[in-house]
Amino acid sequence: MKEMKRYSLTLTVNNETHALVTPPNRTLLEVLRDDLQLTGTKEGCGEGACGYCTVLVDGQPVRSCLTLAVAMEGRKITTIEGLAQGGKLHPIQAAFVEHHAIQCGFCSPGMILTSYALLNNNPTPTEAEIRRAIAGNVCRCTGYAKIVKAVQSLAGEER
Amino acid sequence: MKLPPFQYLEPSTVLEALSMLDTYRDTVQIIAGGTEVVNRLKLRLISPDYLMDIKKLPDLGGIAEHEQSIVIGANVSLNEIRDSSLLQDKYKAIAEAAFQVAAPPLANMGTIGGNILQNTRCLFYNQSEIVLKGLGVCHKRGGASCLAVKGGKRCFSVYLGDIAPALIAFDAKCVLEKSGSRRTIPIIDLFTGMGTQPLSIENNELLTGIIIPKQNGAYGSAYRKLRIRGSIDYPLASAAAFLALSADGKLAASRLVIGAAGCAPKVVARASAALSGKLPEDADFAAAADMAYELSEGVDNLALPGDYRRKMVRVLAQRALQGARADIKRGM
Amino acid sequence: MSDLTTVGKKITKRDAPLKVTGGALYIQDMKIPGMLYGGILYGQYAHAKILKLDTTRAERLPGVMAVITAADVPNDFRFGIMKDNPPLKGGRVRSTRDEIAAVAAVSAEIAAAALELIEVEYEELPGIFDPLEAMKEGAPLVHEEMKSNILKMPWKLVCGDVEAAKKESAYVVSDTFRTQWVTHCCLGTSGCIAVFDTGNNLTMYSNTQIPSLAQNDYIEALAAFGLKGRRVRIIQCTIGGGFGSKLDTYAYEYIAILLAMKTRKPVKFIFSREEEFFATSPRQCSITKISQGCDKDGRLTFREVEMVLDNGAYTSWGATTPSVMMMPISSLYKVPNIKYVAQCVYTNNTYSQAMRGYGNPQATFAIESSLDQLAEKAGLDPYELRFRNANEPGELTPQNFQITSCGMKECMAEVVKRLDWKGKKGNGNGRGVGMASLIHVGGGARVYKSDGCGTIIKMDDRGKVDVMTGATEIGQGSETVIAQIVAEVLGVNIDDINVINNDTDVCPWDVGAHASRTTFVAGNSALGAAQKIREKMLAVAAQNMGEAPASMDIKNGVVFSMQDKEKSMPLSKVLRKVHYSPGGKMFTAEHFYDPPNENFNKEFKGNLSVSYAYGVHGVEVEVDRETGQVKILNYIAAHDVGKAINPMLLEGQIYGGGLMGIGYALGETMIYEKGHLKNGNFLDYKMPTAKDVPPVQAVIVETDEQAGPFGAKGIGEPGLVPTAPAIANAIYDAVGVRIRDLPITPEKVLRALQEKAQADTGRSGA
Repeated sequence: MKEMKRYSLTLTVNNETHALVTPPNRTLLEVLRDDLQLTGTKEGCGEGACGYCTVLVDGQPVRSCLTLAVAMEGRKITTIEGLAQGGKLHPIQAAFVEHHAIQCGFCSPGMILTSYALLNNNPTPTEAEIRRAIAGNVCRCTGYAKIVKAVQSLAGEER
Repeated sequence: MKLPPFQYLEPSTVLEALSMLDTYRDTVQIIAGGTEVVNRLKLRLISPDYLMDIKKLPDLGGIAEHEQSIVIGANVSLNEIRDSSLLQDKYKAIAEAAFQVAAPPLANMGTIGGNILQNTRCLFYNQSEIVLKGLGVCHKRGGASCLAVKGGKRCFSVYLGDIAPALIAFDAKCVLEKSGSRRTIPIIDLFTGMGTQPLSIENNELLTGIIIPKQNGAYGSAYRKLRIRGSIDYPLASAAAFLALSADGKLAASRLVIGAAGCAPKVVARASAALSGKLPEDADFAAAADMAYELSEGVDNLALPGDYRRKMVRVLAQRALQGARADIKRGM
Repeated sequence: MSDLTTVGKKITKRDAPLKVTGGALYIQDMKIPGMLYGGILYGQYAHAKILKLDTTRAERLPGVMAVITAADVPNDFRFGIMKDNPPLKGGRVRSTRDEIAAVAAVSAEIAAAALELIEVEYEELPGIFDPLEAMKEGAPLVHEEMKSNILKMPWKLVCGDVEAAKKESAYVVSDTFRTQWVTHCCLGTSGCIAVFDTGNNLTMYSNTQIPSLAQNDYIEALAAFGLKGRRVRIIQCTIGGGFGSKLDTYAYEYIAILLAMKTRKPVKFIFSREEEFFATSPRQCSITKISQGCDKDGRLTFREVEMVLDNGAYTSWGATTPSVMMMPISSLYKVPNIKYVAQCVYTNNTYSQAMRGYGNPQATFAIESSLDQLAEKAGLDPYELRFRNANEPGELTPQNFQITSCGMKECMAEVVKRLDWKGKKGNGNGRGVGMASLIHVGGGARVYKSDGCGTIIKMDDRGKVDVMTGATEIGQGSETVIAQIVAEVLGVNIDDINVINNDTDVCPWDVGAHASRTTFVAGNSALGAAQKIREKMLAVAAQNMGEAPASMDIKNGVVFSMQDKEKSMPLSKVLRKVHYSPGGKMFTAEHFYDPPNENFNKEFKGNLSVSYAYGVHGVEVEVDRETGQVKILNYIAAHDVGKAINPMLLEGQIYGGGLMGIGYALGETMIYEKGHLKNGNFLDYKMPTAKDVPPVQAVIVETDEQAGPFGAKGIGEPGLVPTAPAIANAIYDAVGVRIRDLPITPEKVLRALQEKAQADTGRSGA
């Protein structure tokens, strides 16, 4: 194996800063899961086609499996662990519970963060806009019906 | 899937980036959004010594309107293209193409430069080695056979970019810079037409911007794409059309470009000639679509058979021309 | 039943809060100190001799703790229902997924690097990939020690006299239908961690959906590996989807056990997405020849079905799907005369397994497509033909299924009404409607000798309840349904119920999460245990409060007299009083429920399930005649569910099953080239996205099944059973072409349209 330089990196995740040292060939997903033990972010395909590894970078949904960790210095990262505050579910999480938008749960962290970003950018999305926004997050259990309903339940609400 | 080892380069200016490219040449891979390059690295389709990240370079962003042209920075994301009211209004095919790339989170990461410069794809190529080993080594992996076309003497991998056909329909150009010089070439000239080496950009060049000539008068454009799912999928066939009318309502200029129909996007030159001076009517569009069909290439190396995909190039060509015509009427 | 407090309500899924916060731990997330990472080397060919296998270089790589090959598998151990599958293959590979060597290393990276250092030389042999070819005499043999590629399987069902009925039929149709390989696409890939203690007892962290049966499999393996009589404990992590893929044990699990034995360290395997695609077992593909007939009044006279199943190179549950296919073949609609024969054939392809519906979707595709052809021939509206032959309560079917509750006609009526069947049928304007029905087991399925499930309930003295169930949770919501049943019976709040369902050291036996049986079987088991503990509590409460137990009730955690509402006491207080008195008592109860259903006899007859679930799907489509693309405009899924214990979770099963069925019908397929999978990834395998969902109405029809817990029947699988034929029938109504092989790609529709146009021109020209 080629000898790689290691990088000192400061990552801001869920408003906490973490100092770590890593070679450059590691994805944000690997660092979150393996170094920071934030295993709520899932790997489903490793090639960006499923959306389970979605995290927010400066508020925008990003595939952490396609993102180099070394490129994340200075960015603000939010993972699923960062949504609930003080032991209370974020309204989007509560809506997913309330409307049964969860079955096996593996797509849920990415789906929730993608929906969260949608509602931040567009507080009153139509059903078509919701479907389009989550169309890169694949679910096998729910048929999406109740996921769409959960997001719709928040459309227009104050959050 | 783990990434292979590499050294990471993060230039802070375009100048520095050009100098790094000049130094490392064939051993460096440029990464911007990462949506394609990271996959290629993971599948070991490439294993560069250096990965140069250009995402944070200043001066590669923005969509600017000039007197004669629209200039788009290479790092502009596909979502910015999609959401640009200027492009939606006046360069509809480009916005329509961006709207249909992958899915929003991927289009948020992916850049216009990266989308144009994507490599060709094939079911027998975009896989890790464990799956395909026993079938042999194909042209694109450095072997001497084609796994998709038995006895194929060349590579039949397919260019599946959505944006390039739409840009080419507008006769757009791109700016390629290297240490000490720059050149501006038509985007269509970026493509070699060879599956093994589909891009003509040199190993010390950086694509920095896209220039779309400004259009005046009555014109319209459209992009049509066939895919199995409503999201995520690359095109199985695609077509972009641009039509401009003279004062008498006849076609002054028309450009039909097809995608997912060979190793490169293709301008259907015969269609431009055939449509010139005609009224924009369905019968003539159908004839132009036949020409697109003739020009298209399709083998069984994507999700649906090559024969079918070629037929769909014809259907989409017709629909793109009709869409472009509808776009003119809307604008008038 | 009207005063139910918890059952029948939209209770939220119990584990959802953990899942929405990222706290649920899947096998992917598990780490055990000292754990090693495993990796598997697969053969490169579909059929080849292994000339050389040298692991020396891999063994020398620092960080590699063990490398094993077939030579390290003791006693020629093989697994699978036919015991034809060695966990590591030696001498020969028979499919591209054949495991030939495995490593355990201190990191996943080192394990991967080690695999690359293993040197293998092969001599490629001719492979056989078409089951019809493989059946021919002189075909290359997949297992050279066998005389034929055709498996010795007994699949034959005969009821009545098909030949005589054929002669008497007014109308007869025959055709051949094919279905493809599709895969479960569980979002969480397969994996396990094998851990041995100092006494050589095994703990397996797993995402199996059959903990008790997997435990048996491992115990058998340990015996073969020289560890006879050792204990096996299975701890299930949160499971990222099952759908049948985890209904059998796989080679990697035995490899993990062997590597953990050899290294004396925990060994973890996690499949990459690519491995999940090619190294787990898909839905059984099928070739089905079917004939059906009816009399001049449209009464069905016979159904004859011949099937060939591509078994792949090894045998798992896919080869037993005919046992379930028999159900719709014999009992979907009233058909007096039945003949069914199925053959399973070894090839060098992948081998198949259980997948949601277990053969039923394949058989129903042929039956329901053929039924529309018969209706056309008989000059009947397809709905009319179906209605005249619909199943009804009280029926005994030719296969000896005792139909108890049956809402087929009610479901049909819902579809006809909501789809505006009469207004939309036969308009031939590129839009059309189609329907298809289903029968499925809804009250367990006695495929093993046991169809049972146990429950243990333990109460603490604060009124909190621990329910230990054998039922496995794979996302469907079994833990919630069980909690609802227990809460209802005990009269406590749902939040006071804690369901423990993932540890064989604690949880009783269960056959597994399959056959849509969990709500019915595990539900009845929980119901029985809850009733027992309720009786015990009422007895002591009555004693304390000077009342007769029969006049006492519990609601909202309060015990009260039904005669005198003033006489009441919090349940927790009663429990503490009894606990802290001399000779104190605390309450536990257990109940094992094994439904009174029957194993098939030698002729494959018997009442497989205590009750049967019915449903009818109706769909309106629009076909693009230029591209062949099919757009679903409206989709009605009406299901007889007995009783909806949780309507919200139940709808989740219908929506989810329905979309999986739409994927099966219109897009999903595993594309193989000489046994090599070409589209084993989420880009090229077309699992539907949120933009591919048509407007779906899930309609719940309640028929109150007497044998079910609170009247419920199973609903896990039915949602996808009739989807493909309903869509195929609608396409025929829209544009007059019949697609006989799945998936219905735009290419096939366009080709059929062009062939029809040519045939029509030919006819008008003649």
